Amino acid sequence: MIEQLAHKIDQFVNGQIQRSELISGLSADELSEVEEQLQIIEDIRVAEELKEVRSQVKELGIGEKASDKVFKLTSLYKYIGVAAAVIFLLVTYNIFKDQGHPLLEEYANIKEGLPTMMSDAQHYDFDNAMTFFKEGNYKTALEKFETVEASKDIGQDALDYFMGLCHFHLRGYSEAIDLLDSLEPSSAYKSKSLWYVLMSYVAQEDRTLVDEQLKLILSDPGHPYIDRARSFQSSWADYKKLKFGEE
Amino acid sequence: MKDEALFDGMKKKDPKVYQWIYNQMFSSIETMVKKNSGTSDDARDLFQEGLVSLWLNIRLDKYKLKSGVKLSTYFYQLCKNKWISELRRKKIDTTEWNEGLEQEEISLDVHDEERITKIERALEQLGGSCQELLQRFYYRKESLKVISIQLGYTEKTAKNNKYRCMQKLKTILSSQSNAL
Repeated sequence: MIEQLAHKIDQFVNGQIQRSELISGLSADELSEVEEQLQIIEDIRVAEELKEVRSQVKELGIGEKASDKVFKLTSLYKYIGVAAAVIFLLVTYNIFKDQGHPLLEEYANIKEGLPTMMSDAQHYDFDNAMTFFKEGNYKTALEKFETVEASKDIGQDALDYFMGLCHFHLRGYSEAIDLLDSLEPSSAYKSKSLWYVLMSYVAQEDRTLVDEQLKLILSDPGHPYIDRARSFQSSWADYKKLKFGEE
Repeated sequence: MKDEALFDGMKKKDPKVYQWIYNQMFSSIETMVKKNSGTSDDARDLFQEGLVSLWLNIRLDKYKLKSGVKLSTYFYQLCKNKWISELRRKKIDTTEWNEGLEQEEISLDVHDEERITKIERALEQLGGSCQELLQRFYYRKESLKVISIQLGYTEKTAKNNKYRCMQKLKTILSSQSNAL
């Protein structure tokens, strides 16, 4: 089906055009395709409603649907089932752990480069932690960063910054804010940390703090993420309007 | 409760109406099932499925108030027919059973129910993000702008994805039909 026709169907199902307008000028084949698509759309709606009805029926005084009762398995199957469930949960957790607030996907995923002062073997632990960090294995990276001792080359601010980022990606937003906010204004990581503090406030949906933090970033035209911040400002305004009815 | 109230309540998915039907009808369904090779658990399963089918038949205008058949009679027959199908599926002989378990008393079109089951399966196969996109647009009637913000897309991407998801859904539905 051509895209324009699909668009016209959407206009019809949303009540923007009349049926006569939808079908005018269509060939018999196109008309049949339109009818088919309208049926599918109606069926999608019914299927969604049906989900609601099923869950309501399950909540009735009828009790749990007998065929839904689990653990009617033999003991061997029971153990296999539990093991499979644990594996499934671990895999699912790893797949979905980074998904969260809708605005974060677009604005919080920034590739971090290596700190500029990296060089010799004494930095092995830090390198190692950064490898896990860059792979997105934030839990292990955090554990590794916690064992690294600050030195004249790898300052505490670098460690706090990357540990803060690990917490952020692990959805430990309060811990992330604590670490990132603690950076001194003179730190090379301060500007970037402001961004992740902002993203943490977004995840926590703290509107006042998001507004304040965004204002702070936008007040610095030289901020490394200034373009991103400007784009975010517009998305955030739309989001607030839709979610909270804020003008 | 009168048929009109039951009908409206079912249409509005009112849990009080489900409960009322349960209180009035479950024992007769249970008796019918137990007399015909089933257990109380089977009866509970059947009752739930019957209630879901009743809602669906009302939603799809397959059962109308003016049809001259009382809602309770229709529901009972619906459960009975489902039970007969279940027994036949299990290859249990249905000829010698109590209550004369014939399926013809009320015409119950299962074609629509099958079609909805197919779309439910196809939506499952479609994957989470496509499913959510179609559900938000067609069921919740959210605009592409709202969806794009909620899902972290641009509006253009949301539009393209919706088109692709619908095409994919059609392909799945068509492959289901070919597999039959």
